[in-house]
Amino acid sequence: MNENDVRAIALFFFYALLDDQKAIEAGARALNLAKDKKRKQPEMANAVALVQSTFEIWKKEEAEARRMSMVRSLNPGWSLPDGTDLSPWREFHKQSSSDEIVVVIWSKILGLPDAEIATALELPEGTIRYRVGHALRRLGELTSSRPNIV
Amino acid sequence: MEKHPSPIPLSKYGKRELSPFAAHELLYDYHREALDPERMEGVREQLKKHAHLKRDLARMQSADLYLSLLGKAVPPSDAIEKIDEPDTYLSVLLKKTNYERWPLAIRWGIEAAVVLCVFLAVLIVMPWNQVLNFGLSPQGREIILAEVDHGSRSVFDDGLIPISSDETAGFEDEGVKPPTPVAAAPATPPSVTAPSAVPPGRTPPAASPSPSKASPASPAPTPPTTAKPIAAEAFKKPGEGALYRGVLRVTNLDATGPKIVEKIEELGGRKAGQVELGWKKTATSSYFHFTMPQAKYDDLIHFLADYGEPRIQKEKHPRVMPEGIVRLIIEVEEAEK
Repeated sequence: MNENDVRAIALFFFYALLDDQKAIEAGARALNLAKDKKRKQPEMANAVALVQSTFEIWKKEEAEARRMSMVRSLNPGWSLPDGTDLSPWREFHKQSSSDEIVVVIWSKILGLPDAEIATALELPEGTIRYRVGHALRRLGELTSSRPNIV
Repeated sequence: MEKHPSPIPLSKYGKRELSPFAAHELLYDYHREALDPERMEGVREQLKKHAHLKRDLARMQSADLYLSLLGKAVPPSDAIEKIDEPDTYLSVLLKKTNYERWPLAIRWGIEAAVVLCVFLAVLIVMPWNQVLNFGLSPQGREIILAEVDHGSRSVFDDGLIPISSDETAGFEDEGVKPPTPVAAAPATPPSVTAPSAVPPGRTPPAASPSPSKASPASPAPTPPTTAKPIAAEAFKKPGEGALYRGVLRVTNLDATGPKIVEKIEELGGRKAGQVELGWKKTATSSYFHFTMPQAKYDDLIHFLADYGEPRIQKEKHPRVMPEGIVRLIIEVEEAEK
C-alpha cells in the first residue's frame, strides 16, 4: 500500500464518519487490514484491498458513527478547496443509505473504477452504477439548490 | 425461419425510441458517456422532450462537480502519519477504550492516580536509610576512587613487618589516623615483635613507634605481639558479605563502655580492627569493631537495649565472613543532655 492508498483511506473515513479523530483510528485499522489482505493475496489489486478493508471497518463503525452524529468533530487541519462547503455532504450523509454513501466516496471522491468496486463487494457492476447514479441525483438536489456552493 | 415482429414499435423515422423510464435509468451512463452511440442518441432525444430528465442530469452534473472538489481535500500530514504508524499495545488499548473521548475530569483523575501510584512506588522501593546516610553521615560522603587487590602478595615484599593476627587481618577501623609506616630492618626476622609497623594502605592503630609523635587524643590500640604473616584468606576476593553498623546513645559512656566490652567478650566477640574494643574515638564516643558468633547477636542487642536504643542496620560489604560469624561496628555515643 503506497502513500496514495493511505491518503485514500484517510479521505474515505473522513467523509464516511465525518469525524477527524475517528477517521484516523478507523483509517489505521483499515490500513492494517488492507496490508494483511495484500500479504495473503499479493495478486489482489490495491483498489480491491482498499475497498474491502474500508468496507469491513465501516460496517463496524457505522452504527456508532450514526449514533454519535451530534458530537462529531472536524479538524480545520483537513484542508478543503477554497469555497467548498461540507453542509450538502452532511445533509446527504443524513438522508442516504450506507450503501450509497460508501459507493459515492469510492467511485466519485476517490475515483476508484466501478469494476474494482464491484469485484471487491462481489456485486454486479450495474448495481454499483445504479447506486452511484441514485446517490448523485440525491446529492445533486442539495448542491443545485445552493448554486454558490461549488 | 420466420422472424417474430418486434414488440416495441418503431418511430415514424424507423428508429426504436427509448421510453422515458429507460432514459431515466440510463441517465447516469449517459452522463458518464458510457453508452453506445445509438443509446446516447436515444437519451438525448428524451432529454429534449422531458424536463425532469434534464433536471436530473443537471443535478448529477452538479453533484459530480461537488464530489470532485471534495476529492481534492488534503488530509493533514500528522493524520497520515498516525494512520501509517505501527500499532503499539498502548495505542490499541487507547483506541479500543476511546480514551480521547472520555470526559476530561475522568481522564485527569486517571492520570493523577497513575502519577500517585508511581510516586508511592518510588517512596516504597527507595532505600531511604542509605540515601539519608549518604547525605548526612560523613562516612557516606567518602568516595572510593580505586581499590587495589593485593591478592596473595606477601607484605614482606614491601619490607614491612605485619602486625595483624588472622582475626584482625584486612579489617579497617574508621576514624583512625594512619601513622607513618616504619620499614623493618632487613635482618629482622618476621617472628620478632615489631611495635607498630603496618602494611601500606592499611589503617594502622594509633600507637606510634615514637611516643613523642602521638597526640594526646590519639587512640591506644592493643599493640601487636606477634608478627605472623597475613593469611591469604584475609585478602580473598570481594564477595557478597555483610557488615552490621550501628549507633547506641547512652547516658554514661564512661561507665557503660567497659560493660559493653565485657559483654561482647562474654558472648565470644573479638576485636576485628586494630584498635581495642571500646576505643575512645572522640571525647563523647567509643568505637567497637568486632566479630562474634551470629547466634549471640540477639543476646547482644538485648543487652545493648538496656542502655539505650541500638540502631543497627545490615549493610552489604565486599568481605565475606566465615559461616556463623558476623562483624559489627558500633559507635557508642554520649547522649546529649
